[in-house]
Amino acid sequence: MAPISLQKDELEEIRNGGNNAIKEIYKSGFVYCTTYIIKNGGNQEDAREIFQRSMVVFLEKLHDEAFVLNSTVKKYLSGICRNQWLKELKRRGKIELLSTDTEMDQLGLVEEVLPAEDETSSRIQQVFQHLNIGSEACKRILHLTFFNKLSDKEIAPIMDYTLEFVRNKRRRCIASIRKKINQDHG
Amino acid sequence: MDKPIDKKSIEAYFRGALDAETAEKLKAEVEQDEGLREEFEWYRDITKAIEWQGILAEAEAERQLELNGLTKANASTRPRPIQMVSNRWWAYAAVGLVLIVAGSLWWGNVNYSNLSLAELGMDRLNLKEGIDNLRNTEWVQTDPFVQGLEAVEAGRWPDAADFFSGITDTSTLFIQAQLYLAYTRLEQGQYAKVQASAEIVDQQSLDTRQRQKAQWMMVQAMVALGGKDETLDLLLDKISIDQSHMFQREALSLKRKFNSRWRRLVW
Repeated sequence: MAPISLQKDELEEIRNGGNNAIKEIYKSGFVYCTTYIIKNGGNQEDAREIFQRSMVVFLEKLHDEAFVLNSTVKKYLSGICRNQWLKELKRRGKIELLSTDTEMDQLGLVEEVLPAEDETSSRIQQVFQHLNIGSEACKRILHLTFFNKLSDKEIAPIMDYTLEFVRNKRRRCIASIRKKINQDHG
Repeated sequence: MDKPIDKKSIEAYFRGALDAETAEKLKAEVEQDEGLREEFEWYRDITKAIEWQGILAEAEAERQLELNGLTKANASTRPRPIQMVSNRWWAYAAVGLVLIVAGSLWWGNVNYSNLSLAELGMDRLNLKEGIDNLRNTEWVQTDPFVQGLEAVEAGRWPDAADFFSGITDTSTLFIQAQLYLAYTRLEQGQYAKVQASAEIVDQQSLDTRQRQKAQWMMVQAMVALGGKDETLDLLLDKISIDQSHMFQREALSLKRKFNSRWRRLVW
């Protein structure tokens, strides 16, 4: 895979909500990250989940006005992926990686180019994780509302709900996520 | 009276359901009110997370599609395993059959068509070589017969035909001229005109060789014009049973070829 470098205009496109640039980054970074996780004790589902989390971390950083990318996207994203997997292994109580970091070495990923990450996840990351583990109905209604920007009148027939139930259901879903995140922060 | 800015307004803002004026008002109030700001930031984060989740889900779906497309493309370009001949016997049989039929048609038409059969024995007519024998006799360059022979030697068939047809039956060379005229017509492919000259030779010549040559030229002309008929059958029978006939071998060969199955392939 050829390393991709993020041009200024691409960075601007992502910051302005350009989906295509994000999708390209996703597709180009997927193979490395998922391969790394599977080689280090993860399964397919872990790999997909961790890569998506890594993408969220990366997107958050890109949206930070002060952020400067001093490496290729691939290297940077791979570093995030590795950190995310380490974090997950720690959470699971399996700190040691099963394979060596040969791949990281091949990429020239030395400490200085690896992104420094907080141990704690941002709220966006937490919402993202809770969305993934929430009910399908919640995920769908929130997706139709905030991603597709559909009105309640449009959502009601899609979900086979009444108009009032759409509003209530959405509020309950958001409240549930909020509650879980608050509980995590304890 | 304007609706007050509350949590519902914030949710509506992130759903894109607020008009521009209300949205501006909301932003202004969020700046002033810490409680509203917290709520605003919460909805901002949840909206962002949902948007990214949607984009990443689309990216994953596209990646899967591309992967499937690639797999299909690879499958279509991957060298196909060699199929056992027995699985494709019908294809080989069909190709073989076509080749056999095409080859047979070609072979039949090259060797058994009327024009091909009419060529049989042409080399034995030997009329060009006969000219050398005539040179030993008195050779007058201005004589139409001599000029005709020279035209035959040179392959100038129309000229030769003109010279020979100009020789009348009062000439002692008339029969010989008719033999050469028949030969000239044969060389020109004017088969219909061969018959008349050859018949004169066959009926009037005292030279057996000349008569045999004339008979064979009649056979050749009839074959070229349409193949087998009763007159031709009779003439061929006559030649083929005559052991002294110089074209007996050709006559037998021609009869065999007429009866051959290859003739059925001739169009």
